Amino acid sequence: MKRICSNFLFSTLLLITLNACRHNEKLPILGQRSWNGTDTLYSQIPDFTMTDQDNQKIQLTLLKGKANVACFFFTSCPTICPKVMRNIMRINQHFNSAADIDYLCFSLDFKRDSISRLNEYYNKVGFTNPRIHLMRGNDPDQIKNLASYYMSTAVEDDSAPGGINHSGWILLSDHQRHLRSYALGTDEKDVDRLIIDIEKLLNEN
Amino acid sequence: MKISHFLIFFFVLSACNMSTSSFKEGAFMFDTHCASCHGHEAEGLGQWYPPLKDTAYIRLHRREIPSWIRYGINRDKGSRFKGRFHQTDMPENHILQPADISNILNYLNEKFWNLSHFDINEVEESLNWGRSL
Repeated sequence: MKRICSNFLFSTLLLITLNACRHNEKLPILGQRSWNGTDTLYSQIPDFTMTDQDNQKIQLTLLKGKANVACFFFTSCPTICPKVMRNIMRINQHFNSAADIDYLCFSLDFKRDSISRLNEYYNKVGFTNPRIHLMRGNDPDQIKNLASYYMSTAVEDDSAPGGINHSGWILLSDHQRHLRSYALGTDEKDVDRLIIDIEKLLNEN
Repeated sequence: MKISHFLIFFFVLSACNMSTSSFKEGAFMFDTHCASCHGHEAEGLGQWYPPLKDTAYIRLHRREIPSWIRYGINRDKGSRFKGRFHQTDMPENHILQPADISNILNYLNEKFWNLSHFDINEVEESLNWGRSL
């Protein structure tokens, strides 16, 4: 009896410890890695400077947020973007504006999405957090080239609704520009999981 | 007597079935073609993607609405429905046939508006008007 008891105690303790382990588990660093002889090098999102809806210059390395949430969209997109934006809104409402998160939504429509149109979109969708930036590239290809570093694709396609075929990921990166997690921006449950990952990232030392 | 009862029961049942299948069709078409922007509960998102629950507004623009669905709304170009009432654009939807539009409207009507039935003639009349502009 005594032995059973102690066995039970041991296994309970083990379970609790393991659980604690899992709680402290860090998010993995995603993407390709290489080895320079002494260190593992993780792939990084290359630095860039673009313009946001308030005509501010936004440089990735100057953003101070511990977490960085990114997505690709365009204002006249009739298919997945509204869903992605609804979920960006949900993430933003879950954490409040004081949370240490920067949001970058990259517009894929260089032709139509002028600064003033992005500004109108920002206001009419109902964003108020100044750390949400709707980004316009400096030339038509800057954002399309950036997409691959965010594991996303974007190609012009006249047969696609709205004229651009693109992926709807919402991506999470840290302040060292490493990708840490992602979710399908059209899927609420997947975005709920991403919200937990964002919490984990914010709690990292 | 019993047979007539049975017949009545059968007719009521099939009528029931017809109406739900029409709402189902409308629900499916709404989810496929409209809900991405307007939301699955027609709740909209801010002012950019307007909600569709305002009965008074729908009643006021009942004649135009099928044409807006089919031909879209474009504020910039001098096209049919130049922003008289609208804050944002809406893409055109040429795939949608009069029957689809009528199903979508009746589904929303059942769910939110409680107006009289949108029949297919009414939809076609609106589309003729929209086409002629």
